[in-house]
Amino acid sequence: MEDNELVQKARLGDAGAVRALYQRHARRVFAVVRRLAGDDTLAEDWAQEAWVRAIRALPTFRGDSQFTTWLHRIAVNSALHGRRSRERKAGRETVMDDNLATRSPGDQTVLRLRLQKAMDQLPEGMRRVLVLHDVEGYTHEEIGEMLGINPGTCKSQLFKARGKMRLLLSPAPALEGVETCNT
Amino acid sequence: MQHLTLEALARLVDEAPTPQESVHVRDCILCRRELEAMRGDLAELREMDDSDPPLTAWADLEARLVDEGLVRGRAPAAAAPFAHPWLRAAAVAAVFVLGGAAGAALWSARAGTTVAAADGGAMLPGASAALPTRTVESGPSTPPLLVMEEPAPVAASAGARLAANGEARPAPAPRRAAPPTPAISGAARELARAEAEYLAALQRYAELADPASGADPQSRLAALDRLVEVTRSALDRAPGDAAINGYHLAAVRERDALRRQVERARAEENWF
Repeated sequence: MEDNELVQKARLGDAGAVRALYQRHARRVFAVVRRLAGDDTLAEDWAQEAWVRAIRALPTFRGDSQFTTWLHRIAVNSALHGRRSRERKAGRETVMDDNLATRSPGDQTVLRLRLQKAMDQLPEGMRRVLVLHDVEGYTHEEIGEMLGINPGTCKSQLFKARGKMRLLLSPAPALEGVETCNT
Repeated sequence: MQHLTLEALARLVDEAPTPQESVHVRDCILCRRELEAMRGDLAELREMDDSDPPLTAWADLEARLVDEGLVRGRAPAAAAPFAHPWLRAAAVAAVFVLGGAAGAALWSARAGTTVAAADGGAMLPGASAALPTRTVESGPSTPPLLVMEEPAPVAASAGARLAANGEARPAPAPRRAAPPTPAISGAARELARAEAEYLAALQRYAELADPASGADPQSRLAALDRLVEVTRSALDRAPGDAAINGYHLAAVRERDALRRQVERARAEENWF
């Protein structure tokens, strides 16, 4: 069944249709919320909030855009405006098993986990811009509108974020401590 | 000349350099290397996979939707205990035998190579030169699994009988063959044991995770702890294996999510 058909049923309170939509799109929603939240606990809360908002707003979905696009925007907004009602836990025992980092450094799974961990350590403003631009593909103008900043500021934050990511991913960046080169 | 700052390099990832910057990057190996590393980071970020929410996320959401009157009643329960994508993918036969490094070596088209089953019986691994296989797309977050069309020849253990799409299938009759070489049979036995342990732990967790089971969170947590322990042990045997790494990480994530849920519930009970 197509998304639009499920949406029609879900609008009428059909739990099976809502569940089908959830099963189809839960990973995408959780992924974008998790990246923006930088924290598992917040991500769980905000992802649930995103879904509740989406189901409430189903009567307003007109089908002008794809359901995935509409839902994705709701998820992003939920994460950007989510309340930090729970204290963030730092240094939690979670996905980054140290043994994995040393066992298979070239492994794609470990690399992407390192990227996620580095993103989690960015200041919130930098993380938001990096996730929205480099991961989710929004333009500076769109991000500026979402965050209430001008595109120039967004760019500047993005470049800082990328630089910080490089430092976090590379324990001894080539340029650190080397002030000049021969050119 | 001073090196370019990391921010300047970050700008050059997707903007054109000034003439001076262009000359510098051309001539400075350090700056060029950093720029290439940043471009690599960006490429990886763009390819990041989606991640699975905790297994309990739907149940929590559904409860809230019912409370708020946004849905009528509850959705029909999932038919199979392996409803969650990573559980379903991980239940497919030979997940360790073909995914593990030791297993891959065994199946590398050596005619007549034998594999010792978990119970010690000797078996042929099937047509070693042309094993009927198919690739199972197990989901974006886990690598595709190469699955044998027939049940795994090491399917002598109860756990491995859960192979192939999560359904119980009888183990194939072992075919007698020449005794295996000690090194291969030892590795195969270990891998087969790891696979059986993993499938048994997975089945146990899937049963408890099914909302209809009524299992308490502590029982589920214990089952997840066991799954984490088993996958960690499997990683000792095949540390570079992407599939086993993926399953281990998924189990750790699931366990941590459940722990947080239990802690939250405990904190809410003791708010005073």
